[in-house]
Amino acid sequence: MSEDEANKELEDFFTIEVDRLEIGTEIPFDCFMYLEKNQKVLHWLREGSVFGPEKKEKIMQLGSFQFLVKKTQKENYVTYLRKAETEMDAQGQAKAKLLDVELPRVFGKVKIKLEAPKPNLSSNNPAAHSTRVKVDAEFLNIVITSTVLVFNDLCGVAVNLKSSTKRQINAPSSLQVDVASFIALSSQSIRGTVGLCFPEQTYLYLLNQATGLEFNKVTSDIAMGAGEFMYQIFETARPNFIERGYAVDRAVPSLVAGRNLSVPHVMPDPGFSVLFDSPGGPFQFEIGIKTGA
Amino acid sequence: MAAPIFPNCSYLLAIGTSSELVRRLEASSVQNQCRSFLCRTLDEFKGVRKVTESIIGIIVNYDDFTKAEKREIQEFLKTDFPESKLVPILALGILENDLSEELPTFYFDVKKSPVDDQAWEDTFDDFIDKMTPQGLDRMLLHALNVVLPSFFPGVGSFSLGKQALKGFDFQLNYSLSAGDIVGLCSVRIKWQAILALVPPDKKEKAWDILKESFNQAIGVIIQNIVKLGIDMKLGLPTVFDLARVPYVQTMKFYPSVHVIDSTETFACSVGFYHLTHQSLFDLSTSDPTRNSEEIEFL
Repeated sequence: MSEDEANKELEDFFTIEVDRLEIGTEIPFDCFMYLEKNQKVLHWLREGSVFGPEKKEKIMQLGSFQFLVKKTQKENYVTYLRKAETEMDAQGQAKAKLLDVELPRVFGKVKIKLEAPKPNLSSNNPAAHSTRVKVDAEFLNIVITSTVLVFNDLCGVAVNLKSSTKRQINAPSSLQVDVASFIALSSQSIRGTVGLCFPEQTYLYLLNQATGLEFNKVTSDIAMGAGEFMYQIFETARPNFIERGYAVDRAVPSLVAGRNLSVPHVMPDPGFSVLFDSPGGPFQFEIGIKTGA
Repeated sequence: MAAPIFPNCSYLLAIGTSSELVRRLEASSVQNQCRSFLCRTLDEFKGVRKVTESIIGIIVNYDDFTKAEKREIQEFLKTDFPESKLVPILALGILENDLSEELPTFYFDVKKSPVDDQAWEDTFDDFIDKMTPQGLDRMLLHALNVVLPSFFPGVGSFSLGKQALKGFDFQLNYSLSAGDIVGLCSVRIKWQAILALVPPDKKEKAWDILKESFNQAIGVIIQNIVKLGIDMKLGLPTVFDLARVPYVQTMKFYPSVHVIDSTETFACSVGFYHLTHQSLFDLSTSDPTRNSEEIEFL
């Protein structure tokens, strides 16, 4: 199979974290193994088969391979992980009760990475070699897709794009912002800042969904979740940015919480505002661009 | 209600049950502006450890546990946090002696000295020194002492100190990035004191002057890092009004060098973090030079 054919075939799959499969459970999806050297996709586990200890042992022996599931079976995979997570959680809480300790809750109800397979950086992929110098519609599309994916994975919540508009210099935010995280956007040609901004009610709703806990007030302790949302969206988007020619550098968010924050003060530059709607209320991405607009 | 664990956040962890440990943990986390989490059992600690990406340090209060539990904790820490992981472990109380000799260098056993807050603070400071790139302190001092007076005549000279957080009006965060190495330069300022340093005809441009001055000062450091073959870039500053926001949090803990000028108008902290936990760069042999016009004002 040629590299192009292999890459085309990979487009039908997403990668999974195989160590999240529980021994003794029935696997409700077909699972494939990608042999990078041979550029071949092998059918490894059949839908309905039981994941036995011998399979787990084999994985350990094989070392690091990419394991894939067809995009058409994504729902089966998500359902499987949610079920496993719930069962593990129930066992953990039961044990905690016996020990009389409160188990820490981990941010992210279901930690699933529905990544696309590794970016195609072969010589036949023109996007990998042309450097994109400005923030454009495709850039925004990657932000939007990654946001939808991360909130679906972390919170099990569907968020929808409401509007995407140009942002003027020093323009006030259309939302009241009470919690926000900011990350630097830098590449050879693009310099900017991205802010993920929440009204308190929306933030609390999404945080409650992501942790399974009920928070009624934003404190500095729990505001960290805004950074976690941002970090995970950025890490999901970045491989796609690179694949599409935006060589965006790695970065770590800073975050703030406070009543009615002034976003234009933090991010005065023009750019884009991308408004989303969630069952808990709206939230917004502010993208300020100094160079590369 | 206790905060959940955020997997990508840096944590200071503790194992034990005593109220003294809780107090010490809280004090350390405030002092160092980091998240902390108390685990009451080794099982709980193992669970937290599994989901946290970065651990800053561990405090264990051995006196809260039985002999068998002490052995189990010591064994676990010895194997799970070898010397190469560079995680400081502060052991409080009496350890099991037959295991003590094999403990890694970053295992600080304070049973021989009085167990007090100072012991942990000193240990933590020593550790931060080891985690910051060598020569960064000299480089930062040089950059600020050379660059800032040309923008703000009369500014006091900068010297090394503890992180200064109180009494400032604004914070500017500059992000630095080079592959898996990320950095943060936080500048805290007193606005009225800065205005007094700016000539009357330039007061309207005080913000631009401020941004440009630190842009150039950080540029000096970046220039020297680039000379080491590391393609480091400087991001735009994000400006936070500290009257509205009590403090600005970061996801990762950046072991930093802190400097402040003699009039306490500017406080600056610079630190780096390797996202895949590799060693950082070494600036001890670099020669800090005055920044040229090469650094672009972003």
